[in-house]
Amino acid sequence: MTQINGLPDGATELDRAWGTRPRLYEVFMSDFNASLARADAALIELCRLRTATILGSGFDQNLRYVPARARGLKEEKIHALPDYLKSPLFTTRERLAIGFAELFAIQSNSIGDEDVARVQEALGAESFIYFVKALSVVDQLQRSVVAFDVRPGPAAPSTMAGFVTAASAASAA
Amino acid sequence: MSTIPRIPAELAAGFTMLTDGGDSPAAKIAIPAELTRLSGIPIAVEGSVTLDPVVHECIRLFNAKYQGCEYCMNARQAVAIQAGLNEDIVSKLTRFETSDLPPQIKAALRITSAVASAPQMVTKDVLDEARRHFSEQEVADIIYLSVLTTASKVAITLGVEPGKSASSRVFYPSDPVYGDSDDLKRALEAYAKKGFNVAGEAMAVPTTLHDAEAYKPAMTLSR
Repeated sequence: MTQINGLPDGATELDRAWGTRPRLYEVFMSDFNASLARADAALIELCRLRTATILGSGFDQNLRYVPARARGLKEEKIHALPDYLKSPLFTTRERLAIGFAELFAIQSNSIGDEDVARVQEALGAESFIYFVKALSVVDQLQRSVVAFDVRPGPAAPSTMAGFVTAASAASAA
Repeated sequence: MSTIPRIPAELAAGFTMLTDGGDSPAAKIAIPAELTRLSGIPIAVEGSVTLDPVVHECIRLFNAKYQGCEYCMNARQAVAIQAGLNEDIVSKLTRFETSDLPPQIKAALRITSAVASAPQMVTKDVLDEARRHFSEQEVADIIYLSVLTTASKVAITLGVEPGKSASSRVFYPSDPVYGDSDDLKRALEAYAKKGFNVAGEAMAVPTTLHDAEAYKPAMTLSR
């Protein structure tokens, strides 16, 4: 991590990046974890990995969300994400959600009523609310990761509940 | 952008931008009040970002404009006004690069702008320029604040952003929206000792520079 000098020690680069403001980090990650826990795990994981590519977060691409795997998300589908619009591995619901996540990451204020209506219909109204909140905390964390140049590491931060490295997930499969 | 709820009214009911928790769907997706206390008000609550109040408010307002959050755009922090923020500065935020804003504000907003649009643009050059005006801790704080002030994207996307009329006033750091805590109380005492008014009457945000001149005397800082 080269972007900021004099960061405190930490178990991972993410811990170091946020380590100068530990209370802020604690409260933010608490909201992050609670927000992800309310969302559809497999769906938000697909969106997280897709926006990680858009925003350039290799750190995020190196992590896997265990609850998503428990919901049946496999590496084969993750590897097919760049082709999610055409790949038969993806459902219409997933394509809508991932497309919405892309818009949210790139320019959320361009999201129109029709975009919202389509995804809300596919997910259900209450689930859609939690989905958008989860997108927001993922978006915020990824922007911080890229701005601080947090690199992929050998272990997932303990502050990210339910996350392991892709390598750990593969060996556990 | 929409301030008309895009979600069913029964799920949007009771939404506020900040919350200390609650069981309703709207309360669950609000920004935690403590997170805003730590990052959203320009006073040094323990563990929070510590930036010059004017720089802090410029970052918050830049992101408010960038994201299109009317609620965020039309609020002003009292301590920032007392420290020199005025509507002339606010009017130049969107086109800060070609403005005559001070170089330290431009340097901070280059980071904020990059974080909001394409965070890979937070390059070494951008950070080195910021380092000419800010300490390493302050540069990190600018990144934290730039990240956290994008949280309004949730309310905007869901159409539950409360809009201009809900916030067009000056917020004092003692305002109930920031909740209550011992560290906030200590921070308020410290600011009061520096001569800042930390609690005051609700005051409308001026819509023109002329209006801004009219309300300045009430905000005179006696530091």
